[in-house]
Amino acid sequence: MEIIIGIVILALLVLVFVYNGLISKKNEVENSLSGIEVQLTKRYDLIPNLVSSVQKYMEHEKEVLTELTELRAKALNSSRGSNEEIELNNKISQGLARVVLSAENYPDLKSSDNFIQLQRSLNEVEEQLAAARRGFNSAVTSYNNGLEMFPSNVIANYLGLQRKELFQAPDVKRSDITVKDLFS
Amino acid sequence: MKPQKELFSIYKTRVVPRLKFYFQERNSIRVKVILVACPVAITLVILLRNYLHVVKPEQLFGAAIILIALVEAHYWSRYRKKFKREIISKCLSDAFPNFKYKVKGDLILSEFKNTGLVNSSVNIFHCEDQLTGEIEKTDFKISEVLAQYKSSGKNKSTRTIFRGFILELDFNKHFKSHTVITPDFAVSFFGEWFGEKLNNITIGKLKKVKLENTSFEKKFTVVTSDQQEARYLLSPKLMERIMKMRKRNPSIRLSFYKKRLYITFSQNKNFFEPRRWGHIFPLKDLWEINRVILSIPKLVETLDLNTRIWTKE
Repeated sequence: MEIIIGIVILALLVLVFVYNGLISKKNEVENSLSGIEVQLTKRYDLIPNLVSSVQKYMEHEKEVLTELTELRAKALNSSRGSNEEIELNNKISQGLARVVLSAENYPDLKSSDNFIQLQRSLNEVEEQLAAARRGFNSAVTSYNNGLEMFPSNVIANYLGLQRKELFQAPDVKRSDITVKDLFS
Repeated sequence: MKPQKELFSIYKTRVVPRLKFYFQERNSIRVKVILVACPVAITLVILLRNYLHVVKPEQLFGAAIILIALVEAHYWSRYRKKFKREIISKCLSDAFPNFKYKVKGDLILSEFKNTGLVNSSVNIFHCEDQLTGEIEKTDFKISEVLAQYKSSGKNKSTRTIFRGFILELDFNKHFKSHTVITPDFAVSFFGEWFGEKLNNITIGKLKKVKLENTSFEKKFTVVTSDQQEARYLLSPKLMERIMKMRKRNPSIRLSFYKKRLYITFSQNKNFFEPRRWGHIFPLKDLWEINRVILSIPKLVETLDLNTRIWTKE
């Protein structure tokens, strides 16, 4: 009898442990998604400043700047973590990369203190964003492992937990194109 | 590295003319030990035997040896400080005019503990031979450190926790968190699965970060107070650079603490010292110091710390 009670208690403990582990992993994914959102918001905040400081120099790139402003407005209205938001942000990354590359053609802009400061802030946000995405992927991997491994997969099935997708890096990574050139 | 010819010239002008004086000084320490410490030790033995009735020869002999060692250490300490102030300091100011040398370092035990570079308890801490300066935009401070733990109770013993250099560098990114990178002994000893589980249990206040660079993960344990900031600091490029540094220094430890990056370099040798026996300060010793100092700019370059493209200028 005592053995049976012992086994039941042990089984319950394992159940609680596995359940809590899964929920904690799920919350970690949510939390790391918020980390990405914080950095995206910082980036959205920088775009108007960037556009206003470069538009008087960049007469031939007005189209890119308008597109960037529009993309920012759409991204702000898109739902958090949605495919639309990801796609819009990939386009914002490409737009920012084009602005930064174009600045090479405008020596006055390139040497302006305001632009240099903005450039530094953008670099920082981009790097923070990359870190947040890496954190998100790590949390998702751990969560997905929990969903597939025994015995947590049994509880995950019962709870109806779904696999989550990893963040795929956009084709154009601004940080690869930028920076040293601008500061040289 | 400073050209051998230039270093030899510094050695010739700064060291060679004073070697005779320091040789005589070193001999005079031995004379003082014989003339002062030995008679005092004999007196001590007589007093212990006659008045305190200590009769065991090992106790009497031990007391005498301790006394002689203390006297010798006192004179030797004065001698080496004088030697460092006069010889080492001048050699370094000639060889590296932009760097500043101090005989006594200002890294204190509490600061050393706070960096989290070592997990073990430390209650004896010596910091000396400190060199400060700037390499382009990066300021640095390197100190020779000895950290030990002296246990109390019946079995008193002193264990060395760390001996070597601690290099403190201005990091090129702003950060507020505390992140420590240490060699992953658990994984090396117990294998990947069990080692990882063990790391998760034994890391204390800071939480383990799982990074995507698998070879880095196998060699190091990273713990931090802020997961995202740790990834911001440890960019994929920086992880590769640390792996490169590890090839030269397998026991390397790093700590990002209060805007600075601390790096340890374990050494068995005590640099910046006059020798007790034989030649007091051969050219080879100056050459070794030169090699240590010149590894700093190489390290700053490897870590790419002069690239200031983020908000920190």
